[in-house]
Amino acid sequence: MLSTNLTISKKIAVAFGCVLFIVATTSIFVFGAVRRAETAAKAYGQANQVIADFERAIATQFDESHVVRGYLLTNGVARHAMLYHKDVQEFARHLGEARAHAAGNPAMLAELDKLETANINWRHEIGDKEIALGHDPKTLPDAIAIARSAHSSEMMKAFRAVAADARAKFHAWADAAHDSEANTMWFMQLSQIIGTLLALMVAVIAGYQLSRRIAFPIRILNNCMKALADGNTRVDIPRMGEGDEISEMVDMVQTFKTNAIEKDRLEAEAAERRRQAEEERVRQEIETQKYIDAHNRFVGAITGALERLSEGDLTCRMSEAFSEEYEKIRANFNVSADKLQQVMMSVAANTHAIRSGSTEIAVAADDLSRRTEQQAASLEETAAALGEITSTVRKTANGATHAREVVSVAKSDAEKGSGVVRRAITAMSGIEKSSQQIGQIIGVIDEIAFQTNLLALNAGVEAARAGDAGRGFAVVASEVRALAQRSAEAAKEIKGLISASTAQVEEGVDLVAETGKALERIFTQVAEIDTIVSEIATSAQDQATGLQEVNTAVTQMDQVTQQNAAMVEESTAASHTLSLESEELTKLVGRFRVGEHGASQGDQVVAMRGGGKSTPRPALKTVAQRGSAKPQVRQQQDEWEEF
Amino acid sequence: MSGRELMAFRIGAQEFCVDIMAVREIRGFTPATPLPQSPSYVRGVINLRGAVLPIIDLAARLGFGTSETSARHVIMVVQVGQQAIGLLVDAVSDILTVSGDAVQPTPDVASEMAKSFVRGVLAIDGRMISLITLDNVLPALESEAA
Repeated sequence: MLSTNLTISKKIAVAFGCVLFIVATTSIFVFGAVRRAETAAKAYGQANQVIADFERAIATQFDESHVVRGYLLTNGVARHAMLYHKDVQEFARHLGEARAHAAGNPAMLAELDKLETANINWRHEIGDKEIALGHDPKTLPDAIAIARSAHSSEMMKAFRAVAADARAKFHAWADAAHDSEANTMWFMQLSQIIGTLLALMVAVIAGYQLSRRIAFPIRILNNCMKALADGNTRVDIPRMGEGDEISEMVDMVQTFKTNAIEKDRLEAEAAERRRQAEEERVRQEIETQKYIDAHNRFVGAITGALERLSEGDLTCRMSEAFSEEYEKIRANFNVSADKLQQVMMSVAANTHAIRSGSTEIAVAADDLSRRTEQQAASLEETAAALGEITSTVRKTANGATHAREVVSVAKSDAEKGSGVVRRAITAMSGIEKSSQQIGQIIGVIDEIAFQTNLLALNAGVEAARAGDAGRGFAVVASEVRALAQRSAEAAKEIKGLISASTAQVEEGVDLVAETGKALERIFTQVAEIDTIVSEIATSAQDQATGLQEVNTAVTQMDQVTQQNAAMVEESTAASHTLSLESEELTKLVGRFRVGEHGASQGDQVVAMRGGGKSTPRPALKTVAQRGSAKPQVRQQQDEWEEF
Repeated sequence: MSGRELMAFRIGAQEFCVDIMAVREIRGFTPATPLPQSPSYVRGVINLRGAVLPIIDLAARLGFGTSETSARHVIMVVQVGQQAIGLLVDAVSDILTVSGDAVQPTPDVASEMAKSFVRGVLAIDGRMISLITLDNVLPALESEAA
């Protein structure tokens, strides 16, 4: 029923789902049955109500026939007729109520329609006629005849038949509705019982399955885990569940078991390793003791050798053999002692060299001291000469500044001169203009003289025409003409003078313009001179400043030279001390026993130095000599580095 | 009898003179209106106080070439017969009063044509002045006069 590869939660959900499904189905059945029973009960109630109304209507119909009879019996008492009409209304009301109750049931309504038809037929044929005839005493017998007639009883019988038929049908419907209700109730109870039984059965099966597939395996696993916790690694874990939590739990417990077995194995291995380590330690202690013995023996030997070395015996060697790790140290010691011996020999030789060198240094320092003093004296003279040069240059600078001022005055004068020239040109052009105006005026005068001359000639003509009477007039005319001619000549002379003056003025304008140009050139040149003089002044100033700096530098040099002289004095003293010290060093080096070979080498070097010193030489050559001495020193240094 | 009066004038550097009685008036030069198809020595006409006055370039008429006129040129209005004409001359010099014998006849070396213009020559104070006759100045007038 429950698949084995579902998880526990799904298993539980499936079990409860089945039970719930059955309960829900049962409830749906029961609900449907209840609804049907309710419908049947309603139909039954409806049928009963219709029957009640129906019975009342029939009773009213019978009452109508009784009232008609009563009416006929009492010979048309109006009260009976009124009752008859009232019964007719009553019948209609009851029938209306029956219809209202039977609404929605066409078969019932049809039966009611039949009943109404029967009632209307009876009233038309019998009731209404009897009431109408019974009213009048004359027609009363006709009415009684109708009542007694067979037709009347047939009509009544037909009504009764219709009523009986309808009643039978209504009762049959009511019984059918009742039976249906009873059937539905029975079905409902049956559904309830079956549903309950099914649900119980499913619940029991599901419970059994769940306990078999969940609770049982968990109990087994619990026991297995208890055993594992107690340290029992041989416990057997059965395979249970497939694809659900149980199988996973089984796998886990299996893993716990595997881990426990692995842990036991690892502890056993660790114990084994500790035992081996202990053995190893014991063996090593024994070997260490052996080492310590060899070491002590070696240390004793090397201590003795080193003591001899410290006493200055460089010929000491370690001849005894040791274990192989000390053999290398012994060899190194012997090589070191050899090297030390050689070095000491070299030191002894070089000590002699140093002694002779220091003596040379002392002599050189004396020379240096003397020359430094000379240099100081020269520097003082230089400083004095520089001071003079500086003052000269300063004078030059002042002169240049003065020249610049003078030149700027000349420049402003030249500027003023060109202004004057411009004014002169303007004045000249004014003169020119005036001359032109004068010329025009002279022209006018000349014209007047010409016209006057003409007038005088005309006057002369007139006077000649007048003959003797005009003779005096002719004289006047000739005088006037003479005046006119004189004025014309004067005008001509003035014109000549004016034109000459104009020409001169033009020449003057040209000259003045040229003067202006010359002044412009002078102005430009003066400006150039100004620039040049300014540059000279600046240069002179710069020179003065530069010379001042040179002066300062020379003063500093002087001071430095003085200090150098003092330092040279000190170094001279130091060099003397150095030669004394080198003597001392020679004595100290002599304390080392280095064998015969080294001593002879040192003497050889000293002898060579002594030969070098004995030759007199110029001061400069000292440097060359020192240069030649350098390679030997270098060689010794190399040896030290090798060591 | 003191003799006759002559009006002396210049054409270029040469001096000429006419009888003063022939002279009506002396005027400054005014530009003349040229007449079409007129001889080269006729400058044209000017308006003299409402009357039309023909102007003769005397230099051209005498064969010295056409004058270059300026404001200093002078027009001498003379009466030739009934006709008043203006003679364009360079300048009017002065009025000469000379005796009758001062006028020397024109030398024979001159042609007839020259003689028809120059009646005589005056030599006064180192000057040489030709006396012009005005009768032949205008050819048309000459024919009219004849």
